Amino acid sequence: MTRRRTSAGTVTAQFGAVVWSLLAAVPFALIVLLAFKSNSDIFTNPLGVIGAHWRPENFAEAWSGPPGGQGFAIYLLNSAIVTTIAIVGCLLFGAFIAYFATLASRRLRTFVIRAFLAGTTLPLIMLLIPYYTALNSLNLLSQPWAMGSIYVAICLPTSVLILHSFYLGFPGELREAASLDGLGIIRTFTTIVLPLSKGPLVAVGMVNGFFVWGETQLAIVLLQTPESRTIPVGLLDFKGQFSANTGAIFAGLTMATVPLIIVYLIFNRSIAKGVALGGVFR
Amino acid sequence: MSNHRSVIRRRAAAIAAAASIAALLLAGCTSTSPAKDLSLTVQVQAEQLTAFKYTAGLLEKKHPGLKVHLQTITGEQKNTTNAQVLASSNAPDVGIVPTNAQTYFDLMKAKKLIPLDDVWKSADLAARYGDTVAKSLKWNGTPYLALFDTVYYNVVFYNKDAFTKAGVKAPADRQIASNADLYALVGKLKAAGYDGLAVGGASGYQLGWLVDAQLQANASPAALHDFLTSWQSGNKQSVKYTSPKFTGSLAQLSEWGKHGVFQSGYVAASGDQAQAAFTSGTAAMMIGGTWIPSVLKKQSFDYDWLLLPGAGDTPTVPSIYAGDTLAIPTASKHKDLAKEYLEIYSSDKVQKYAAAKVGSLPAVNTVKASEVPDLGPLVQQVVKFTATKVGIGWTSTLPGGLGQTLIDSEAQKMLSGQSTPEEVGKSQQKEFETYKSDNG
Amino acid sequence: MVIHAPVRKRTKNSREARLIAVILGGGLLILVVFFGLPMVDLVFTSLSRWSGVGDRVFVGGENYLALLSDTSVHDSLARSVTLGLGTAVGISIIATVLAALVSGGIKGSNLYRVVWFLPAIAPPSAVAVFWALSVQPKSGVVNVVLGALGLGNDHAWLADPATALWVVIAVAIWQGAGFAFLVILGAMEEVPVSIYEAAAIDGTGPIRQFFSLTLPLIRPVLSMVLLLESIWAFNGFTLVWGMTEGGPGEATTILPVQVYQEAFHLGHFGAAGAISVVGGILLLIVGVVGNWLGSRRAVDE
Repeated sequence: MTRRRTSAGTVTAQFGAVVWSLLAAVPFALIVLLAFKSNSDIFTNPLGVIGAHWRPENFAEAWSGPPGGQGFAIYLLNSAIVTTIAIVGCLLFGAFIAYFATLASRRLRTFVIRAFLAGTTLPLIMLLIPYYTALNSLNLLSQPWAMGSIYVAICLPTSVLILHSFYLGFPGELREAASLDGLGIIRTFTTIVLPLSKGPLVAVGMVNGFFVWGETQLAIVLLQTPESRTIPVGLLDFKGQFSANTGAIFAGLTMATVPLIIVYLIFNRSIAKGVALGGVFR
Repeated sequence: MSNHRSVIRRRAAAIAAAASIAALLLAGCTSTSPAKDLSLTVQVQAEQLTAFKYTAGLLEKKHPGLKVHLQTITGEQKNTTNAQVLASSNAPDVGIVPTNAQTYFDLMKAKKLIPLDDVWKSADLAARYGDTVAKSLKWNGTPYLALFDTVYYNVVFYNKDAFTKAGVKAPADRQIASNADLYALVGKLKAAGYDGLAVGGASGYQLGWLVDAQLQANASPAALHDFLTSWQSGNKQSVKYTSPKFTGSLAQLSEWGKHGVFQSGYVAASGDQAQAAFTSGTAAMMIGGTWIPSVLKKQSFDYDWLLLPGAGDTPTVPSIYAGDTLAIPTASKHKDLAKEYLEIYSSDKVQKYAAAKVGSLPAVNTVKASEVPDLGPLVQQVVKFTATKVGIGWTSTLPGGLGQTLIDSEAQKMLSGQSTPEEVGKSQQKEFETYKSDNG
Repeated sequence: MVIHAPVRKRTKNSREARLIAVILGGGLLILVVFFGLPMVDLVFTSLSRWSGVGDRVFVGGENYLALLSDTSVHDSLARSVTLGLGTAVGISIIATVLAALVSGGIKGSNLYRVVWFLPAIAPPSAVAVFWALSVQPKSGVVNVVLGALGLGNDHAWLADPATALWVVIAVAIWQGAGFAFLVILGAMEEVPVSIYEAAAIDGTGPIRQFFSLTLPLIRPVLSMVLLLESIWAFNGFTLVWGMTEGGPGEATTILPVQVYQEAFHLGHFGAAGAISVVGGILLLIVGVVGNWLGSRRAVDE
């Protein structure tokens, strides 16, 4: 889809695009730069390159973990467990609910979708104490798989809403052909619809994954023992009584973000396609 | 023949595989609490880790098979969610429960900590803490806490090289005599390109420190005593927080803000930011305490210490914080071992070790700071000074929701222009009255 | 949700209907267990006085009554609205412009598609720490750059109550624009080329085309983005807390921050619960109304 633009318009447009690209990408480079600096330099000489106080030990410290905590490897493992459970659970439940809502009667569908819409408006802070009391009485605190299950529920509303919009545009002919072949609605879903929903599923999975990977508010209260902590919570241990090892925190954040960027670069086409909403299914 | 053998070999391999999988599964299921090993969980703050580890080692030597797990908590956590953590059935065996944190009061009211009379008796803590401190650690006459270090704060460290360059002379007796002197001093520093006093306005406690120092210097002894004790159960308030005896100290800080005493952007600066401003030479002074030399260690410049002025003729003095305390939750599964841990940490041996390695001053009077040369000359000087001139911090005494957390955020509001000293006094009084009606 | 496609043929098969009901019922059950029950628990807490440990003491509507007269709650509500709307509007405008650039075939579109989503990947805590550091006076990256451009390097935006909230909004826009960009771009790319070709034949310039063709056609998606982003910003605790902890003073204390402070700093879980319930109800109304408005617009077309 091309439109002819005036050359002045193109120059302004390119300028704007480049500026925004720099704004979007440079902070990541800066975080990596700061991760190599000493605590003092981070606050007082963040951009300095010549004559700066370098401290590559930040990475060694971040890897071996905060004092009294566990190593970064353990935090990485916990983050991986929690995120995988959250993504798999929420995609599985989300796809089922979103698709079958399109098959339901109008009243049921509207009710279900409105309920999930209400779910998106809930602030996490309200859920913090009830979840804590519940997990405590079930003796499930500091269990990464319990944390993952909670994230499944939290990510479900937005996932259902996005997937539902996608399934509304799903061509009915494919489904009718399947039912003519004698496939029940569930088989139709698993053998025909699901494989064709790869794009949105990857997109929703990624978006939820990024959220769960960095979530701190709930994790900090529900994952108490150092062995159970995820990366963002574990990194907080670098904050002491009066001062923090900021260099190590940045190094840890760098190590935490790099896998995300790699995953994103691999899957980015699917994310872009899948996040697109509405209209005709392509 | 070979066929038969390979079948047997395959069967053996299959059985071995099945057995090892079963063993792994069993190990996985039971690895969380192996019956043989005993374990103790102790909370710790990053700064004191070395000393806590040392104590753990001593305890493990006495009890072979024991493993002590250390769990770090942050400053934010110990004032907030730690109450829920220590009240839960999964609580650690030894928890950090500062005397001035809201968590201490909530836990005591819900009766979630065990009394430590026996620990105090066997370690002779009542005598070794001294009367004032011992009293402050008891709840209705019974001790539930064990102190692990003491700290003096409201000590200002200054950059000697910066002072020389700016042509400023530090006060001979270490106390800046008056506000006029302070403004003149800061003026000269600014002319030489330095910021004045680096303070972490967003740290959550440093503004509260300044209030403590001012109250000690400005309020009359009777008023100060009232501020320090009226919140306790059964006591009546005779000096309201709306009185100038309280708001005057706040106004003092406001004046300093207006005269540019602090570094630029101080209201939004974290403690680390302020410290970095000092160590990088941007600000010539920073507010701190006796732990600072062990954190700063050697800098590219020489530094020394001084004290800020009060509103009138009385200068400020260092404030004592005897609130770094440990407690044992009722949910602990190894109360005897936990008590032993506390006793060992309170021993002279560990207290001396902690002072030397971590820079914390001893909690007990049987170990003198002068016996620990590793503390360094600056700390020794402060300790000597406080032998005769020391203040009790108001924020170090009151429960967090009524004291430190409240006044720090109110002071931040005031210093950023959203409130006045009188309004802060009103908020403080209102919160006090709510507290009294809830707690008596 | 906006419904574009025609209504599905209702399946008459009762066995299928039961299957659908079971699956959807399961979904609703998840909502009830993970959202409904905690909400009930929260309402109970809001009707009590509780320090977070020990027993709750029932006090009836005392917390709600106190709310009505507490100006700090009204203020934090107003700030939340400002944050929510400011972020949503900012994100929508920037994302729409960015999407227009890429769908218009600007050179480098393939690269831009990848780069512009990057900010959404970073964990909010990392974003907060980084930007809070970068806007510090004199030494923060932003001030260093401004100083190099001759615009002065001593701006302490986070220390000034008048500007602190806008800095937070700017950072929230930075992080959220990427996701909205992809959504809006997707909607723009659904618009058939033929519509633009017809307009070009009629002599309509590209700018007119954008305002009178593209925008109205993507309005349902735009309004959904606006709604979701404002809800997310309204509820955004991590970014604000990480950058300013609600400060300076109360300049950036939005509702979730106030709830956290009331509950965990001051030990007033009952009051905090009441504030969250009120905020939640308001947001629910906004969500329902917004959704209804959005879908009505689509029907009108």
